[in-house]
Amino acid sequence: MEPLIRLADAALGYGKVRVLDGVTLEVYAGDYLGIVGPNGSGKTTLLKAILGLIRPLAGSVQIPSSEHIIGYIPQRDTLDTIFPLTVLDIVLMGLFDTLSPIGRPARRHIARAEQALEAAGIADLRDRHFGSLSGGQKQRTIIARALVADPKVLLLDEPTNGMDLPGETGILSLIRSLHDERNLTVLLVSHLLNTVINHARRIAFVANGRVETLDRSEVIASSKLSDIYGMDVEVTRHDHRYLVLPAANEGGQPA
Amino acid sequence: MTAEDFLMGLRLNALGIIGSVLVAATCAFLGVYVVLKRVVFVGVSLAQISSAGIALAFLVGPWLASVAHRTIHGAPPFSAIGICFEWLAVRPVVVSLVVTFGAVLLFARPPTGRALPREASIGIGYVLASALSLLFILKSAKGMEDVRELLDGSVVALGAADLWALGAVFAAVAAVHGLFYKQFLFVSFDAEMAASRGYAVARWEMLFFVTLGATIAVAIQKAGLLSVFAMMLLPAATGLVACRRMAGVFIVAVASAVVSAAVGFALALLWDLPVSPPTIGTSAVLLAGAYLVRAGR
Repeated sequence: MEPLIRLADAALGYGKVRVLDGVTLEVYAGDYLGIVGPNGSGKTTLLKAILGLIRPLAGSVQIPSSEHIIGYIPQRDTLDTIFPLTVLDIVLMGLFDTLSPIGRPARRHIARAEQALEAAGIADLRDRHFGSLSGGQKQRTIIARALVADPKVLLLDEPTNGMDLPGETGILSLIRSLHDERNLTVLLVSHLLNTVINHARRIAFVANGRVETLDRSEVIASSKLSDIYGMDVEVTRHDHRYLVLPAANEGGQPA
Repeated sequence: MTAEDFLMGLRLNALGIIGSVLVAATCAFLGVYVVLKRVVFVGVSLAQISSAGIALAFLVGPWLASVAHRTIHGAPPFSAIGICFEWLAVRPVVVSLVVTFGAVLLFARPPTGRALPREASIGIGYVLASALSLLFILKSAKGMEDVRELLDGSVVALGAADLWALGAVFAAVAAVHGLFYKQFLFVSFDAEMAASRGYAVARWEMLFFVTLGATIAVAIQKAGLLSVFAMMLLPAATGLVACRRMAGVFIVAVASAVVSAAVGFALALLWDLPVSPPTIGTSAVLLAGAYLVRAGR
């Protein structure tokens, strides 16, 4: 099977500055890939390369030729709530590039936007002002904006950052169901391994200028995590879910 | 002033009133983006730089005219230079446009690889333009008269040709924004997502700032620095306070600007004042009204 996205020995960065080097990564249809790393590790650089916003400094990055295949879901905090836009206005933006340069959304586009709102579970918020929504509702709005273009891949940048537990659970469940029911390929960027370990099949660790991809079973079983984080780390299982914690000493304090 | 005198004044200044209204409406429309994009300081700086261009034109105007007078009847190519200088000497807006577009090119550069943050470049542009405006005006032939014209404009003296020129520039700006509304909105609201969908964000940003620069440069000579900046800020703020949809914000912003310009002009005639202060005062009252409407919801 041909990968949807392929990075081969790619060096990624800006100008002459290499942020990531030797990146080799393949993403296949139906994958659920977590991209995890500390703040400033280069996750956003990798994301920009996958979106085609930056070109590799060396090596190659092959991304789907059609712009509509990847549905990008940026961090919700980057969107300015001062704009007087409703949820529907924002979802319709996902169709702007399918209209002629001077075209306006028609009734059929609004119908598609309403379907996307339904899929994101916020059909009742259609006419609400974006700035009046909770964090979870805002995240669902920009997920709906990505869904309206009928993408094959969802690329989410820190979708649960700063959310409370119900909000985070709701968003991760939504992504999971979109992945399962629509066979959408998911690339989920997060700085928290616990956010993705119970959902992603594979995890790409971004740290120290490198990207290392492991299957979830490898992450859970191996001592690789301790190497990646530079500290003793253990993975515990509770109620069929995994939890990554710093290894504890005999007194129960982090070692 | 009797009512008859006042009505006569309105009739005599009909072109000026129309010009004020056109300037106010166009500035208010673009001002909505200026406020939403949080680039109010860019607007201030461009207005000041545009004023410096006008002040430079005031300074060099007599020299251009004198060179033109000496060369226009000479042999080519001196006669061509003379014609060109004679044309430039009475059109400060051309100098202003050149200077303003230069600033637009600098301000609209993408942020990567800059040694300074964009705000610092904008601030430096503002300070330099203010200092140069002062210097040019002090050294210009008319001095204080130019200061007043720079701040308050010369909309009272607007002729039919000036009005057509204003109208043509503003119609072009309105056409660009009317046709490409969704591109300007998308790029302003979420540049990263727009880029991921194939939009050339830097080019759309440049086009926005070119329309802003052209509007400011053309408007400032006629309406003055104070009115232009006020009309970019106050009506947009009124629209954003009063309305919750983009269309409503644009409509209220433009409508409040039109009312402010017309009422301001009438009050200036009535009380024999410069046009800017009553225009700005009316706009501020409308903004206060918008806050009351919002509080009453």
